Amino acid sequence: MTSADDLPDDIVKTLRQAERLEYRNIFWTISVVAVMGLTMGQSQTMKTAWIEDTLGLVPPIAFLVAARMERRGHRSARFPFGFERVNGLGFFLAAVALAATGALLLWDSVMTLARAEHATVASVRLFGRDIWLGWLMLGAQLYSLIPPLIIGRKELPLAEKLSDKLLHTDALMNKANWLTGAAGIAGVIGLGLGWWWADSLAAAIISLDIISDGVKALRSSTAELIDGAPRALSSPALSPDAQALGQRLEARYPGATVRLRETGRLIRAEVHGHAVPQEPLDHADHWPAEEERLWRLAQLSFVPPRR
Amino acid sequence: MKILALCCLSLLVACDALPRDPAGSSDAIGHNGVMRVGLVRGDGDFGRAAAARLLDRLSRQTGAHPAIRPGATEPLFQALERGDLDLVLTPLDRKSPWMTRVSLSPPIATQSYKDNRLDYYAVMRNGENRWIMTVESAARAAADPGAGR
Repeated sequence: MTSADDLPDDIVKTLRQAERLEYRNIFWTISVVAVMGLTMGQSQTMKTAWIEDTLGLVPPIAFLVAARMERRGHRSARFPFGFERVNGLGFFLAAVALAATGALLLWDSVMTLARAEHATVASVRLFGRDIWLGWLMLGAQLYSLIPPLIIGRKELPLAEKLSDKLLHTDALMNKANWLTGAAGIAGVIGLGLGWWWADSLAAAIISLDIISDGVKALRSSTAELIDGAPRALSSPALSPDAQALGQRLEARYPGATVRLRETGRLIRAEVHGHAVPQEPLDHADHWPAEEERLWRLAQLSFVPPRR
Repeated sequence: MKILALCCLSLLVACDALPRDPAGSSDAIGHNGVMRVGLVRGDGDFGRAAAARLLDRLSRQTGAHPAIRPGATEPLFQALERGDLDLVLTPLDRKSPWMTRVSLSPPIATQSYKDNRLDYYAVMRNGENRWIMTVESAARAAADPGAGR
């Protein structure tokens, strides 16, 4: 039986690569939080962006905890199945953080529009000159775009190779953060031009996209936690690998009921109503997708019919 | 890269153009030659000298003369919110509920008694960022030495 303890070397190597990327992600996110905190002044939009950047720390921290437990945690009497499902729990936390980010942004934007709040962006005295704080905010927002833009793009291929929805959600969180930064830039320029409504309108439109990603991630993560059928990496639709596996098992064991579920990045299959085959089981023989992803099939078990 | 360079150049050109006032306070003051100022007198002479220096500096900067309307803080702030005033000069407690409804300059005078501190401010309508910046700049120059500390 395959388990998280004996993932292929290539996958373990990719997992470590993803961990290193997440350490860099945390470092850059903290630097963005610090820069935004120094320049936000009394701007509500900047405060919201700062909260979002802080929430952006949730997925990488969850990923690092899950990956560490998955690699180093061993089965014990208290945890007989090991810790591969910590990834699923982290995925749920990351999905909540992503959905909360979108909801927070939408709430803030709608309230600002409804109250017709005219945001004040004051000035500061720097190097003997009075400088509009908006210029510093623009610099901070521009800086806040760069790390999530680069790191998010690097995470996507790793998430795909690892079939890691937590890492994929972090990539979405990074997308949310750079989109919010872009909205922030448009907003500060809008405020400078005297268009008090500009940043709230841009932020409200972007928040709908973030909420949509967050809700999709929430649907997939809750499905995993309650033993739903394996979901695709980037949507709540059923995973193509799992669908093909289910069809192959049904064809091979006619009359049996095939049940599939997901524990972290692994797929577990149960064939109900069929006797255990006499000959040793070859997982490769049952796996319909590419051989490189055979490691995902962690369990194939049979539940014979009751007498 | 060319687009980025163009954006940076446009922003540099815009340095002086931004910020602008959504309700056009700076333009109206320059055009009418009048600054509509609400004045709340402090105890004794508190804030009087700094307020005079501030108005003098603003007059020279904008070419507008101040039209003073004396009164109490609450009605003057309401007039400021309606756009009937451009500026209110007043002592203000930092715990006042008005702190988020209006924009304050750096303190131009400070009065301490026992453990409490009272600051005297120039107060502007929220969001009029060009006018706010003009007043803030003048307030920094006109403030009593050590004001706000």
